[in-house]
Amino acid sequence: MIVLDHITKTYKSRHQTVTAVQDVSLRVEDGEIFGLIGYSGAGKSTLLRCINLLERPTAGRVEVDGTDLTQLGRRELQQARKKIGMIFQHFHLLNSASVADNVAFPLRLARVPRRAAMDKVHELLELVGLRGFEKHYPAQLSGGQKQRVAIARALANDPDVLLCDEATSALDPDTTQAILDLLLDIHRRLGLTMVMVTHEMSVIQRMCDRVAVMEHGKVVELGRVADVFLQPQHEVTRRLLNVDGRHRRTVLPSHATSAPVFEVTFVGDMTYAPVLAEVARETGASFSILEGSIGALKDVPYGKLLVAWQGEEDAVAAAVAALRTKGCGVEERRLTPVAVEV
Amino acid sequence: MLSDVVWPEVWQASLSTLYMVAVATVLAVVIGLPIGVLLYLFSKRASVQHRVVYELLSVIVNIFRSVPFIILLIALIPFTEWVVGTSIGTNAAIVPLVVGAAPFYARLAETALREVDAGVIEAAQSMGASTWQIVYNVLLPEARPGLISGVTITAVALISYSAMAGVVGGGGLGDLAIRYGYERFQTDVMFVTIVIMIVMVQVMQWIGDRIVASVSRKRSRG
Ligand SMILES: Nc1ncnc2c1ncn2[C@@H]1O[C@H](COP(=O)(O)OP(=O)(O)OP(=O)(O)O)[C@@H](O)[C@H]1O
Ligand SMILES: [Mg+2]
Repeated sequence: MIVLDHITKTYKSRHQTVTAVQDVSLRVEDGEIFGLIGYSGAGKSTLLRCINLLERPTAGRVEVDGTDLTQLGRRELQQARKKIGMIFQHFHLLNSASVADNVAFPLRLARVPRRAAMDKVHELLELVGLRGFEKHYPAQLSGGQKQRVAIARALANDPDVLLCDEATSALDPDTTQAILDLLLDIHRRLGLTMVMVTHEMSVIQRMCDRVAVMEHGKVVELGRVADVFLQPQHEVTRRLLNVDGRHRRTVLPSHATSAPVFEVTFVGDMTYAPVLAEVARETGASFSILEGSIGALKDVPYGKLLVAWQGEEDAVAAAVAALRTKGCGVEERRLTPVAVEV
Repeated sequence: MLSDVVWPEVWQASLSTLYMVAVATVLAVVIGLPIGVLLYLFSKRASVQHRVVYELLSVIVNIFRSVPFIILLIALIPFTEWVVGTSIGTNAAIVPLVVGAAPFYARLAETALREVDAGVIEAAQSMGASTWQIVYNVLLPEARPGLISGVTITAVALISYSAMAGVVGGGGLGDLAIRYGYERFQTDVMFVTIVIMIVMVQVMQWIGDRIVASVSRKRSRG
């Protein structure tokens, strides 16, 4: 478990003081994949780097698996870091070392005998799908392959925690998917705790159990991905999700221009149940779906539909109440109608 | 026109120069590299004490680098006597050569180390590497091409420094050129020594470049 307790990090230079992280407290449970999202400069990387004390917080406590890292001496901290793997946006491999030597690097630091180290290296390269690349050098690899090497290297000491700072931000969409799949696969097999920094909602959606949204060094929203994703509260989250974004143009059918419009969200098995139809039958209101998406958040199915309800005012109110009773999220939306050409 | 050239003496002088340059280069690197590493490490630390140590070290290095070599050669005579027991001869000339070249190489090494990507160092830190492990396993291997071309530059500079070794009876090509070419107006000897020195520089540069190319080959070929 990772406990961040009132973490503040300020950078002082001669001219100014920058508060990169401001009084952030959160905990990441064992085996969880935790996301940190926010716009550039929000303080995500700084907070992540506080976990292994690459940045020493100006104030606050960092606890990893019960040990307060801020209290450790230099040697002890180095020891503790061996159990916290980290991967980076730009891979940070040793250019002067082969793939095998890069992966063996943490083992060499830990003075693991060469033979045992090489066995481990082969095992890790197998895991990340780079068997046979032992003798290659980083300059001969693609971005995705470099990140695989970096992942293998981060796992060499069998860490309990894996920190990922924009691990896929330098990769194309296909490679991004492949790396995310690999990370999920590793998570399933090794059950380690992961903290992922990203500015892409899709990464959070696919990978994370919980997410914290950051802005100006503070966590402005935190919760289960499904909740944050389906019912974003903070303005930053809504912008990241483009909920009421500029690019959204919903076309209203002429018969629904005056009808109240609701965003109805479903999570879990309910997603595939005929909830809307049942409610319509029970209340006598009728509906049309204006827009929607159904998909999965990690392993949890979800649906998000924009629904116009028509009928008697009472019937519509009853329908909304019935949806809420069944566990759907219902939120009224005001839409600017766009002329429809029939 | 080269009939008057005393070839055995030219040969002897060439060997002296090579000997001085080789020994001085090795010693300059052995002494300069750790200083370069220290300069690099102290420049990276944010604390006031570290800055002070850095500035101090930096000033000392600069002093040695700004004193003209001919003056260093003379000023160091007592020190040379203390180190090698005499202030005259080839070995005596090596002491000021090293003292002049070590700070020079230290700077070159510091510059080469600065070229190492900060991210790689950070990655090593995240894996629990100690400072010395980072120096040995990350900085030095990653900076190898720069460190080696620094050696070439130092060796080439030492060829020209060594030309002044005659002042303390160190011999070598420079000494020969001055004794024959300047004092006896034998321009042909001067000419020959200059040609030999040019060849030496070219060969050293070529060797250095080859080594750099062979260590950077694997990393750059895509
Ligand atoms: N070493 C530093 N010195 C001074 N200011 C810094 C330093 N590192 C970060 N900052 C500042 O702290 C703030 C947060 O930076 P951080 O890198 O954590 O943001 P981020 O959310 O990771 O952004 P990005 O998505 O661009 O990586 C920024 O305003 C940045 O300028
Ligand atoms: Mg960042």
